[in-house]
Parts: sequence; structure tokens; C-alpha cells
Amino acid sequence: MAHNRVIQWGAMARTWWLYDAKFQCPYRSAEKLCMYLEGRHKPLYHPLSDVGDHVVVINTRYVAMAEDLWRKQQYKHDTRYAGGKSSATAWRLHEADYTKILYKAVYSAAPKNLLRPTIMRRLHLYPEEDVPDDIIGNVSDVIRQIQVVPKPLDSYSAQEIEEFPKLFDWPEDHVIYKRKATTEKKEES
Amino acid sequence: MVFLTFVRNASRYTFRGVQRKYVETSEPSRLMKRHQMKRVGAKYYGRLRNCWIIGVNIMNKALRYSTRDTACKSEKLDKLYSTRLEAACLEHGMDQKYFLTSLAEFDINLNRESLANLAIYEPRTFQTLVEFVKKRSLEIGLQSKTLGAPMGLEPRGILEEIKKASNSSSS
Repeated sequence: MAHNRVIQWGAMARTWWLYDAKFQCPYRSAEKLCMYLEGRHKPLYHPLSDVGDHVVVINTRYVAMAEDLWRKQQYKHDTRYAGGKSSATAWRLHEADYTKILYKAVYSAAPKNLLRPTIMRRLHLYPEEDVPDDIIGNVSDVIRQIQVVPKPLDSYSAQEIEEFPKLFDWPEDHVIYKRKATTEKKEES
Repeated sequence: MVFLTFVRNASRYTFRGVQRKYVETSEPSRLMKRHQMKRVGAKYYGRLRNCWIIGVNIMNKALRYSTRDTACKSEKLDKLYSTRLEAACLEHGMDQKYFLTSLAEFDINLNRESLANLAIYEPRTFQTLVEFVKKRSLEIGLQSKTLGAPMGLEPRGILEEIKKASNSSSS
């Protein structure tokens, strides 16, 4: 059958996937990306064979962290010289490079063996939506996001906010704490 | 003087106070042990296969390595079949656990290994099994909402937008 070799190409071909990291948890999405990078979404998967796919990730700049992990998550580095140890919080690392946090998340979620460098080379990270043509041209499908992207309060119109069902009104003597505006202080000093 | 050496050797064994160990016990002879070492260590190079004390240590280690992973072999294979079956179910938007339980309910006795092999070598046969489970779950009316869409049917709005933007910028 001449048709068989086409089936073989189709089975072993590397497909390219797109993942939108906007408002997604980097650590949980890294687990999902690793499934595609390792090839665990194919029935012919084997841990020693290199059958993974390419994944293009966009909007890594707008990645979202749970709780206060932006302040508390520490990324450590050691140059192996005396006094060469250093650590940076997640937000500082993110400021330095917008793709670094997702890269490190995928790196730690990937299998710890000699296939890891090749797996990481198949991951293409972009901070914004502009991707080079030679890379976006290969992409054929989209990976579903793990979280629902929340709608910001600014995007609701005043009418929609008013029409939102309200159960009760606050009593008049109820005091709601409001933080003072910081901009005024700066102007005074 | 061949005769004298024979007598000397014979007297050494016969007039000994304590008998040699290998005479008493039923151990294999020294020569056979050495042959075993040579046989196992034939693939090694240099002193590893020529010297006794290094060679026998290497041999013992090699024999230990040869049976080390047999205990966890079936466990690892089970894990592999499970991941393969999960991938095969994902292609059709089916949950693996629900798939296996409902196959067992309808008395289709196929294990993970044979199902994973079916998914690789006879994908259409596997698809019919998945469709059977989906149809049965719809008839019963249980779990029918949890069964998702097949893979490759995600909304591709974002991809089309980016491709359109890149085309407009390049042209």
C-alpha cells in the first residue's frame, strides 16, 4: 500500500501548537505544555523516544500568579564562586525578562533526563502577540487555556454595573475603609 | 626431577595437620570459579577481566545489575500503558477512568495494554469502542455532560487574529 508511508509521516510529524498565556497560572500551565512537548498526548508515546511537538506561547508578559507569589516566590542563582549566591523575587525576575518565569516553570516541570534540553528547544516563548512569520506560519492548532480569563471591572459599562443584582444596601452608619490616595502625599513632599 | 616434586606435593597434602577447606565442603572448584569470572568478565578490558579480585567484584555487580529492574518492570509498563491510553482517550475527548469503568460494566474485558495497542495499531477499532461508550452514556443519561469535545476542536480565534496581523504587517 502506497498509502501507508503517508500514515507514517502523519503519525511522526511534529505539529505546532499555540498557547495564550494571558492571565494563566505559569506552574499549572507548564504541566499542560509539558504534555505536548514530551508527546504524552500521542498514543505512541514512549519516554525514551523523541516524539514531542512544538509549542508557541504568546502573552507571557501577562502571566498571572496566585495569592502573593509575585512577592514571595524566590528564584535562586549560584555562580559557584564565593559570595556568588543570589536570589530574586518573581516580580523582579519578570521585570528583567518577561519570558523567564514561564521558561523556568516548564524547565522544572519537564522530565529530569537528557531529553530535557531538546524539549526546551521546542518551546517558543513571546512576551506579546507579535510572533515572527516563519514561526506562526507553522502553527496549526490551539491548546485550550487552563483558566477562564477574567473580565476586568473597567470593561463593564456604568449601566451594566447598575443593573447588577443587588441583595441589600449598606446601612448609613457602616464605615467602609478607604485607602488614602498616595499621589497627593508625593505632591506635598 | 619430576618424581621428587610429585613426592613433595603429595607429602604436602597428606601430612597436613588441618585438612584443606575444599576437600571438606561441596564448593565448586577454584578453577571453575575462575572460569565463571572469565566468562562473565570477557566483555571488560584490562585488569577487570584478568585479575581475580577485581574481576570477581565486577562479576558480582554485573549479576546483581542483571536482575535489579525486574521487580519494577511490570509497574513501569503499567504506567506507560496508562499514559498511552490517556492520550488515546484525549484524542476522542473521553475520560480514561470513565471509559474503563463503563467498558467493564458492559462486559468488554480488555485491559489497558490491549487497549493502548489497539489505539496505536487499530485506531478505528479504538474509536468504535469510544463511540460505544459515549452512546451508552447518553442512553443512560449519566455523565453525558462531562464528556468533552475531541482534541483539535478548540476555538481558533486567537490564532486567526495573529496570522491576520502578521500577514497585514508583512504585506
